[in-house]
Amino acid sequence: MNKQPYIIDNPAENDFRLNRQALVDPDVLTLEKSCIFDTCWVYAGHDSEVTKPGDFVTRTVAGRPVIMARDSNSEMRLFLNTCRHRGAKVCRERSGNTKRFYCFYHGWSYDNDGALAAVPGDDAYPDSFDRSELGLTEAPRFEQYQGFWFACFDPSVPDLETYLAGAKEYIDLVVDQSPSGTMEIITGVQEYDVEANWKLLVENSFDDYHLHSTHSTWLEYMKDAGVNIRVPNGKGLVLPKRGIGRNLGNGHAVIDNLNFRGRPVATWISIYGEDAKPIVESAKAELVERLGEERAERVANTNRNLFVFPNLMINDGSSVTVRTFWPAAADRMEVTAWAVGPVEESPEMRKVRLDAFLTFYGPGGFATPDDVEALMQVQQGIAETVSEVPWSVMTRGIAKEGEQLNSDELHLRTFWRRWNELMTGAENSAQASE
Amino acid sequence: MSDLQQEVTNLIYLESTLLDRREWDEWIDLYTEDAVYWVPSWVNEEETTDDPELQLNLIYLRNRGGLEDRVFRIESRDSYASVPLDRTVHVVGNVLVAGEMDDEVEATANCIIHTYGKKGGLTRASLYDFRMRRDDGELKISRKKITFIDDRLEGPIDVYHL
Repeated sequence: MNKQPYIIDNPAENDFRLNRQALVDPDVLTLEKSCIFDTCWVYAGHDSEVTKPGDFVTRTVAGRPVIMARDSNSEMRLFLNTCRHRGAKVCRERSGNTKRFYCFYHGWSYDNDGALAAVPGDDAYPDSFDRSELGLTEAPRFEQYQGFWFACFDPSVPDLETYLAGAKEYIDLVVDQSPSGTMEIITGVQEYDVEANWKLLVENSFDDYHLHSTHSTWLEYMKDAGVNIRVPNGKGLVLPKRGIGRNLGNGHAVIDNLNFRGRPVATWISIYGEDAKPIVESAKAELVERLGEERAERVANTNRNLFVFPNLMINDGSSVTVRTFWPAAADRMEVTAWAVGPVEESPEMRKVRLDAFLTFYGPGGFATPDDVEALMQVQQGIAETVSEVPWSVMTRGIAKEGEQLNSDELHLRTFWRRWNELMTGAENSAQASE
Repeated sequence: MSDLQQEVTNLIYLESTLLDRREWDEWIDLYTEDAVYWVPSWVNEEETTDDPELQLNLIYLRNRGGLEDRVFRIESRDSYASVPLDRTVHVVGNVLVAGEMDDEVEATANCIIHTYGKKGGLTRASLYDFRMRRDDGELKISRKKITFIDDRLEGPIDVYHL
């Protein structure tokens, strides 16, 4: 790392620059693991992935192999997937249902609430051997909001709801799509690796500045399908102007946009086909009935790309995707993406939702591959030029009074300021001034 | 080799060749109007998505129009994921006619796909499940399911990678 700071943040001078070493240097990644991923609430999974007692999924959360399980009493648990004896993983399947987790190395087994249940040949252990202290280790903190479960490996932090701050309002908007307030992960997952720094995907996932230049073929495709791709404008709209970027506190941020590309819940566009029209309209009517005209319009006709610091995106647009990513190296990340929908959704609507999802998102979609290409180009562009070109410019909108657009960069600066605070331990004085 | 086995094998070879040679229009012509094109995702170690309509796949196209959209995207030279276009070589083997019912033929094959592009060389492997049907006497593809054996994909995929 060069001796320069990570960011230069001086709104009074309309200056905000990012030190590109933050995207390149392996030492930065090492520090991120302890300063960020070990101290923040990190997304672990969704209620709907483990609905029955004994259900479990395994995955990596904040770099740790974990088991997210619903125990026999229906309590949600997040175990570190390592045997207390000599360390082997006690669960090797990606998902399933079990009363016990079994370590095949020496045969120790654990109940699905983590208690050590059986130790072969336990008469060889001394009297001090205390089974009650040798259950599976749980994440020190594991809490949920609206069915989204997060873990934190720092026991001392404030609770999840406090952490989520202004992001809660936007999660509520996503969940309000469901008559019962219950969203579910749709079966199937998209997992892909990208040769780029993980923070580039944070930026990209809610960067509306790149839409026209990066996604022109997708926009053409939508236009050819008869969708009006002009961004709506006019009076009496739910949101001022066409879309805004907002700082939601604690590093979370959102772009909050008027819909123009259709929403299964609940704005019909031609690409859905005539058959889907009455279904979308009845979903809208249900929203109005349940939430009132104004809130229904907010849910049904606005899009939001919500970033929950440090590595969760909930993009609620033409479909809903939950996307998280983990840095395998400074220049490589592992992306996992799910589709989410209301549990009550009819098969007809689910089809529309998944079509919309696959058209835009994922490694085989019409937009994500171009994003991936852009991130790789950034990584390749900066990796060996940092000495000569040390700074990236991120000042869009910085000189504006008041609210900032979705295509400005306030939300990116929000991320980077929080990231910088955690990495350096310094409170950022510029935060308040913008 | 039976005539049908020969015909099915030729069609699968031809498809791979047209993809590798970038003869997009001829490639699309191998498909029926109502052809389904499906790349499932892995649900766990053993199973992929098995209900393409109601589960999240990698790609699911309900008819040939979906393939035409892909070709539009490739030919536009405006999708940066496909400019410059990766070079590909498909090597297809193990072609077997699995069954014949009414007017449809089912066939399976294996494919090793080597890609060379901006990321360098990359080899993927997939299982093919075909359905084929006679259209004006000519055997065409009415359904193609491509199952990657990798559950985590290295980068994005498009039809020429498949």
